[in-house]
Parts: sequence; structure tokens; C-alpha cells
Amino acid sequence: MNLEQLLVKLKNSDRFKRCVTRWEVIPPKTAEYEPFPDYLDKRLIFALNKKGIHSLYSHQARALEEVTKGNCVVVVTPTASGKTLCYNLPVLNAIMQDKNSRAIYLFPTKALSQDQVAELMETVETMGEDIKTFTYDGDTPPSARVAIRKDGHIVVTNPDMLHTGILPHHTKWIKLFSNLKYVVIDEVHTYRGVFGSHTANVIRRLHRICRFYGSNPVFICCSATIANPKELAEKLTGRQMVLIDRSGAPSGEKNVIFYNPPVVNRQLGIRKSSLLEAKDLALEFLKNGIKTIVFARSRLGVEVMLTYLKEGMKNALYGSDSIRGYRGGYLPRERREIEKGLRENRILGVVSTNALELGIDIGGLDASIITGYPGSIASTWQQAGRAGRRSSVSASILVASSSPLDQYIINHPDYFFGSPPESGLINPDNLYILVSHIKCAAFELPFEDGEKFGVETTEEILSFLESEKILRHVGGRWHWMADAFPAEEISLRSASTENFVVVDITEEPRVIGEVDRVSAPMLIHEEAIYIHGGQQYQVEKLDYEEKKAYVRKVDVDYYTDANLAVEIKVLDVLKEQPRREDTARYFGEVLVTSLATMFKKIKFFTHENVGSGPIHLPPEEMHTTAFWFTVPETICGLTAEDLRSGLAGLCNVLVNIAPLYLMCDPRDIRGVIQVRSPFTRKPTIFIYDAYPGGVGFAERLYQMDVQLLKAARQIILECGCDDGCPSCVGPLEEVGPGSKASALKLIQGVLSD
Amino acid sequence: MNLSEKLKVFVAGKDKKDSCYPAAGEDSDELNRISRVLGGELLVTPYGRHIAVERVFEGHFCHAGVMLRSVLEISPEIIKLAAKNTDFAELDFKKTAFIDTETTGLAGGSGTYAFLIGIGYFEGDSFKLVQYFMSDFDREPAVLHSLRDLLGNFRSVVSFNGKAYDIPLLSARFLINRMGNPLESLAHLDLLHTARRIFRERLQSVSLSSLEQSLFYMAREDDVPGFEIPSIYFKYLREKDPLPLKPVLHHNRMDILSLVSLLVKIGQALGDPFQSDACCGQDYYCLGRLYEDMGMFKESIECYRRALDVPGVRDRAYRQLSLLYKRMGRWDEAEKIWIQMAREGIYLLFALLELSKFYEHRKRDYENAARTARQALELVYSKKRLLGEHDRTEIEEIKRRLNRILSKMLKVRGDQIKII
Repeated sequence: MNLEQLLVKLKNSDRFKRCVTRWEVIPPKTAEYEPFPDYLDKRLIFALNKKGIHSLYSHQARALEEVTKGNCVVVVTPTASGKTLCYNLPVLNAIMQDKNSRAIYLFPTKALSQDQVAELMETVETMGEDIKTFTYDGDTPPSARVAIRKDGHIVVTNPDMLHTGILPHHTKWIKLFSNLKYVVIDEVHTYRGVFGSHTANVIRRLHRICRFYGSNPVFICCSATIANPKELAEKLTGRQMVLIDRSGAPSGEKNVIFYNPPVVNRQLGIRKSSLLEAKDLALEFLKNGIKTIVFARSRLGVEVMLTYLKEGMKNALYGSDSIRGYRGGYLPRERREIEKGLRENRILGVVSTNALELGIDIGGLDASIITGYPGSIASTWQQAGRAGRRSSVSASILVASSSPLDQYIINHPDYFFGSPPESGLINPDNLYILVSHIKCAAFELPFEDGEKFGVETTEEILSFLESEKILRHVGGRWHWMADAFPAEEISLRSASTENFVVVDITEEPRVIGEVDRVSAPMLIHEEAIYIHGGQQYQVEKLDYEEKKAYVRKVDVDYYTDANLAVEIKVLDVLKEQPRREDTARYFGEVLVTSLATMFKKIKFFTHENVGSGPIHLPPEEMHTTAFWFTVPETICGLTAEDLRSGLAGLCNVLVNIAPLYLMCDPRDIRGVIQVRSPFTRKPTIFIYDAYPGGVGFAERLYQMDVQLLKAARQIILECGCDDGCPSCVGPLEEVGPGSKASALKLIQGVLSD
Repeated sequence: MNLSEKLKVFVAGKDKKDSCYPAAGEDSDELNRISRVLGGELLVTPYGRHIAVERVFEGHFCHAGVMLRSVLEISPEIIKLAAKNTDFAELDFKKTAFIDTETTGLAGGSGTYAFLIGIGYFEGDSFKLVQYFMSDFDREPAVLHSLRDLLGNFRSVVSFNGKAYDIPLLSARFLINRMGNPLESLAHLDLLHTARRIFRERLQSVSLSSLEQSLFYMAREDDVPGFEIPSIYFKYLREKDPLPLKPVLHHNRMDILSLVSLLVKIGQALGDPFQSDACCGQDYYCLGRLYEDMGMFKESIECYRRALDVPGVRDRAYRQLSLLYKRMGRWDEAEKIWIQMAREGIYLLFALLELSKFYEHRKRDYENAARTARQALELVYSKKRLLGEHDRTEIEEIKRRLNRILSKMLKVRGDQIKII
């Protein structure tokens, strides 16, 4: 069967149809071409012709035109629409015209940059021109670095390397910075949250260095479909952008299918495993020789899926070798091999984490199966976009898990298909992030009096740093005055550089994992059962000073659950809006103090409490931003106990679905309830950014809280469980009885409709 | 208190006091005071004034038991060797600046400043040592201006680890201050590289202080540890009490004097390694390599021969010496050494293969060529058996060699038969 026949078969299968909540057919689209403009270098056209390209897609032509005019652009087009030409064309054209021109390409990951270099080099080679493209990252051997600094026309790197390896040593890169014409930032949508806020500051530093050397590069950004590409790119680069979001690339008919595995236990709200359902579907495609990519949410998920699929294909025509895994850490060579295997039909199926969501080119696939909602509309479209040819039919199936977010999406396909994808949020002015980059900037070049770094209050921050004995103000300039290399202490990727490492001492000590500082008191206190890769470990010793937890393998029938006492103190209200019945919503700064007090040992399956113990760890303090709102104190028929469980349940739902709107990781936000808040004097729910200083999530929630509450109401109303389950307010044991009903009453008390 | 609270308190506190910043740079009186304490004087430049401290070491001054002036007697041949570069024969130490800097950080990067730049040079018979001191950050352009002027008088610099550290750092400072870089046009002899080439096998560390200890038996008393220097300077900047800086200036002067003495010692070692007290033991192997690389085979052979009974370098000395003989076509001597190596088990495989090659190609003695190749093969097999590790290509290569020898042997026999 080919894909079209298989789709007809599925359409007629009752079992399949029962689980489908939406079958969307996106019609094919024809190409819009433009001729090569006459200012494009003949040698470049020659090379394109040789690669079989005889005209440009309209978006490529537009990007070339705008960039050549000197405008910064952000190009938003679907997967496989030839977006790399949008930047390679203007850059190569400029270098052909002036061999001194230089460009920096920034990619969020190493794998991506290596792929890009390979493709770029191919084009350059076809042109037969001496244009040097180099990757400069942590793996670049020192011997090669000198040549790259001097001769590299195009330096391909990542924000981390720009931050620690290039900007602090700018005097060695004089040639690059003096002649920098273009900065290309691909996958702009990945620069959000903490990472994006950091990167925006790295770009501010880049601007300073460029000014010093007298260059003013044009920024070329590319992004997957998100709600606010222009805004995000402008915030990230500090430059006005021209938005190019009309793709001229053709595409074939596309089927997007939402699939909800059948319920196996209605009371507890348990559905059939999404992994197993996805596996069955994948095998159906694969056995028919249809090239398929299967996305799993974790590395472990990839391994399990891969094992299942190989097993399932053992006796099939194509055999188990036709299925390959693909995770972070694969080398370009292996990817080339997979690509080649796909082209030559030796490889039929690829199982991947979201590593392949980014623009790595593995060639055309016919079907994609997404195991579990990837967390955002944008990601889902990216993963679905992995299947799709320029001319033929393709299919993508989203298989939902039983988490609240998945269940909401799968049961509200209109929401998914109707609303724009999420916004990429960043807050470059987050005080913590800003101050750390002002330090780095002062290290790179002294600040001049009156110089601004992103914010009006730059001088106050400089003056503060002087009082901290890090800078020295003399002769109208602010000089770095410390025997330290500030960039090394700042990681762009993680909320804090202070992670705890988990060391397995069962045999030879080895590090098996990392736990972020905020979660450490909950997960790796002494005697905690730490589960990693399906294996249980018991924490024997937690060295809080050294940030190390020593664990040993155990096999017990319980897990541990720590009680975290979270106190939240309002420091400053920045926005506030009253609503009915004397309630209100707020946005402001808070101080969160969390203290792990004790832990319980909970037996598997029965959830009996089989013991407990104290936790002796210092409290963690964090200053961040929060969104909070009050509910009426007295709601008819609600006891104190009901109120508590209602608040807890509602808080759970809100925190679970908020990532949908924020395009953030579920761990980026947290919720706290207060039955009677000392600040509002009313029952209150707080949701705060789990990052010191806040990254903008709470503020966005403040703006859209009605929408959020309505979505929460819908989830609770539509959930088939009796009295709370993990798909809505949370399990009964956790939130207490009556949570569903109380939560609904609370929402009713706040909303006016 | 977290950052934003701190910042708030800080800003609030400032409003109460005074909203303008304290003038951190020093006025004339203060500059004079600091200069006096450090025993310096003020130099005037277009970028303002700065402090310079000058010392003159007359004619026969000795540092670490070495007369500074004797550095001027080092011959061009030796300088070439010390630099391991024939272009340096022209180097004239009368036109050389001995340079060392003290900096605000050891990590490098463009936020690191050189707050003290010491330059030593010969003026007639005496050795003059000037130190340009950046009494605050805003004096940097003035200091760099003076440095550029001074360096204009020289054709070369001598440093210790300057290639990796001082010179790139100063180049960055010139660039950041938008000034031309005088260092670009100067030849640079980095004695760390020279010392490493000669002493790396014998000495655990070739840092300047350990070289002082092992070559001059000199230990510095009350010396400031290098890692403390940045914080001493920062404390001075905040308090403007220059007294704690005096040991730093002293440290810098000692470094420059030691640079000269070290160069003299190295000159002696390179000029007459067997008479000089600067080198012994393992150094001979290193010297052998250096002479060999510079084409001085006679000296090289002498040094290797001396190293043949020095533990640690013995095996390598045998191998290098045999290869040098081979390279020079002194086959008999090479053969003798290979035989000795084979007998004593020194680089056994190497020795057997070299012998086999020698017998096959030079002597056309296929019996012996085959015998040694067979021994080599056995050796590789037993290595494979005992250690479980083996290099397939190695085995294949030896097998190929052996087969070739055997077929040559047969051919010769056939030829002999034909003749009969």
C-alpha cells in the first residue's frame, strides 16, 4: 500500500476513527518563483544552476533584495522551503563583491552548525571560489583557531562560544569585527526564555564591539512559525526587522491527524499508553514501506520506541536494520549516512527526540508520528513539518498522552488549528541577566560615561558594580577591576550555573545526572529515592556545599515525596486590576522562600504511606516575578476544606496548561496557593517564574488570565474522571476530595460569564 | 539580600548622599606623592603624565652570580641556537629590550591590563631598567605612549613566556587604545621556549623561579607570589597607598634581571655544554636534538653519546643517535648501535626493523635481513599474545617485508645457480 491507500484504509477503520479527534487536510500549494536579480554574482548563479536551481522562491528573492538594501530581515517559512539560501545568497554575494567582507553565523546547537558548514562548503566549492567557512566552537583545535581568526570569511559558531570565546578576546578578531557585514541567526524561535534573554545581551555586547571597530552588520534571522517572529527578532538583536513570512515554496497535500488513545480506566482517567499506540501506528506505516519519523519526548522514550520498532520489523520485508535512532550527540557523518540511507531506501524509519525539530536536513519523509504533545503549537508544527514533500501527499499523527496539556490539545483541535502559535518571550532586561552581561561588556571594553547598555539605568548598575568592587570609575570610564574572567561564570543555557550532580557510588563513582538547584531539596535530600533511567537509587549523602549527591542502587517498593513549604512574599505590585466581587489580579515582584521540611515514603500502586523522615536543608530564596489573583472568600456551599482543595486543584490545572500559551518548559513556572494570603487577605493563587528575576512568563499570564481560566474550566468540565485525575486537577490523593467541583466554583466566582 | 534589593538600597543610599561619582583619578599632588613613595619620577606625554621608576646597574653588576654585561658577548652562532632560528643571528643585545609585565589578571582576555611594564636595556656599559607604572586606569594611554616611544629604540625584545602572554596582552592594549603597535616590528626571543627545549627532560618545571633555583641556586626572599599581584594592585587603586606595591616593583625588576642572567647561562650551555655548569644529565639528550635540528651534527653526536648512560633519556638517545648516523650515511656506526639496542632490548622492534632494512637494502645480506625480520615478527606476535593488543597493519607490513626478502633471496640463489 502506498500512503494514499493507507490513509483511505485508516479512514475506514472503526477502531482508528473512534480515536481520531480531528483529521485536517491542508491542500497543496504551488510554487512562486522569481528570476535571479541582475546584481547577483554570475559565479554564484553558475553554482546554483549546477545544483539544479534556476530561479528563486519568492521569499528567497525578497530576503536577498531587503538584505542587499541594508535592511535586517526575519524570514519565517516552513521546514524544507529553502531558507538557508535566504542568508547564504546575500552573504556569498557580498563576499564575492568584496573579499574582505566577513559574516558570523549563529546556530543554537553544534550539530546544526556542522550541517550548515557542510552545505555552505559544497556551494562554495561548486563556485570554485576561495571563500573560507569555518566552525568555531569548543571542538575547534587551538592550531586551527589562529587561521580562523585571520582568514575565515564566514565564522559559524553558537551564542555560547561568541559569549566566552570570541567577544572577550575581540582584539584577536580584529579582521572579523572590522569587516563584519552580516550576522545570521538561524532558528530564532529557539532563543526564548532564559537562553534568549542571555543571547539578546550577548548581541548587545556584539554591537558594542562592532561599534568599536567601526562596523554595523545587517542581521538576517530565520525562524519557525511563531506568533511574534518580528518582535522576538527585534528584541533579540535590538534592530528593526523586515518580516518575510510568505513562503514561495511548493508543498504537497498534508494530513494532520489528532489521535487520542482509547480509555482503559475511566474512573482514574487512564488511557492506553501513547508510546504503544504510536508504535502500532508507526509499524503500520513502516511495514508498507512508507518513510516515517517517530518523535519521542525523551531520550529514554527514543530507546524504548526504537527497541519496539526493531522488534516489530524483524519479520517484515525491510528488516529491523531499516530503523535508526537519532538523538542529540549524533555526528554529522552518521546523519549523512542516515540521510543517504533514506534516499536509497535502505532506511525507512527514524526515531528521534526533538533534536530533529530544528532545521537539520535529513531529506524528505512521508509520515511523522508524534508521541505526546511536544509542548507547544510551534514545536508540533515543526515536527509535523518533518513529513512533507514538495509534490506528494504526507501525513502527521499526533498521539496524545494522558497529561492535562495533551488532553486539552487533543480534545480542542480548534484551539490548535485556529490559534496562532505561541510567542517567543524574552526579557533581556532581567536584572540578573543584564547585570552579568554588563560585567562581561565592561571586561571587553570600558564603559564610557553616558553609554547605555539596553536600559536607561545603565549608569546606576555600573555605579553599583563599582560599589561591589568589580568596576572602577575613573577618567569618565568604567574599567574592569577584578582578577576574573566574567564570561566563564555565566552559562547562557541554564537558569543558574549551580546544578547539583548526582554521583552513583554503587561501583566506581560516576556521575549519572544533574538536578537544578531549586529542585535539589525535593529530589536528592538524604534518603530520597532518586529514579534515573528506570533504576532506583537511594541518596546516601548530600554534600550541599559541594553540590554533590552520592547515591547507591537499590530495589525498593516505594518512592519518596518531599513536602515543600513554599512561602511567597509580595515585594512590589507592578500591575493590578480589580474584578468582580472584590477580587483582583496582580503582577509584581515576589520573594519565594522554599523549604523542604520532611519526606514521605509512598508504596507503589497502593500509594500507602509507609514511613517518613525529616529533611535538614537550608531554605532557598528567590526573587522573581509573579502573577497572582484572588478568589471570593465566601462562595456558597464551600467549606474551608473544599476551598483548599479547590485552590490546589485549580492551581495544578493552571500551571499545567500555562506552558501552552507561554511556549516554555513546564518547569519554567511554578504555582503556590494561599488560603488566606497575608498580602491580599483573600484566598490567592500565585504563579511565578522559576528563574531569579523573572523572564516574562508571569507578565504574559497576567495579560491573558481570563483566557487561561476559561481553558482550565473547559479541561475540568470535559475530563471524564470522577473526582480528579492527572489529566485535570491532579490525583485525588494529592488535592483531596471534591477538588474538581470546588475548582469550578472558584473559576465561576472570578469570571463574569 | 538579592540583587535587585541590593541595587535598590544602593540607589536609595546614593540619593541621600551625593549623586555624583567620587573622582577616582589622582590629582597632581597625589601623583607626586605616589611617585615619591615608589622612588619614581613623572613622565609627560601628550596623553598626560605617568610615573616611571628608573634604576641603573653599573658596569660589573652581577645578578645571581652572573655579570649582566656578559650577555653582550654571546656570539651570533649561539643566539641562533637559543632562538632555534637562523634569522636571529643578527640579533644585537645592545638593541634589545628585556621585557616583563605585571597585570591585573591571569586569565587573559581584553579586560586584563598591564599596570606595570618593565623594560631593561644596555646603555653603554650599564644596564638600565625602567618601569612604567599605570597609577590608575586613565593613565594607560600615557603609559602606552611612553612604551611606544621607548620601544622605538630597539630591534628586538627578550621575554619569558612573552609569546603567549605579555606581548599579545600589550598588543591588545595598544589596539583597545587605538594606538599603533610597536611590538609588531620587533624580533622576539622567548626564553621560556629556549629553556623548555634544553631543560625539559631534567627539570620538573621550567618556570622562571624554578630555573633560578636549579641554575643559579637562587631563592628569592620575601618575594610576592604572582597570583597575589592583581589583588595588591586593586587594593592600591582603592586606597591609593603605594607602599604595598614596592615589593611588586621589586619582583618585576628581579624578573628582568633574571632574564638577562638566564640568557647568559643558556649561552654558556649552548656554547660549551660539557664545561658549562648550567647543564648536565638529561639536558644532553635535549641539546643533541637541538644541535641536530640546527644541522650541527658533530655537536649533536657528542651530546647523544653523553646521554647514552643517562637514565630517562637513554633509550631515546640510542634511537636518535642511530637515526642520525643513518641520516649521515655512517652505516657501520649505526649498525653497531642497532645491534647493541637489539641486545639490550632498547626499542627492540625498531632496532630489528632498522637492522633488517639495513641488511636488505645496504648490505644485500638477505640471510641476516630475514633473520632480523623474523625476530621482529615474533616480537609482534608475542606482544599480541601477551597483551591481547595488536596492530594488524604492523603485522602485515612485517610479513610483506619478510616475503620480499625471501623472494630476493631465492632470486639470488637462482642467479647463482644459473651462473654455475
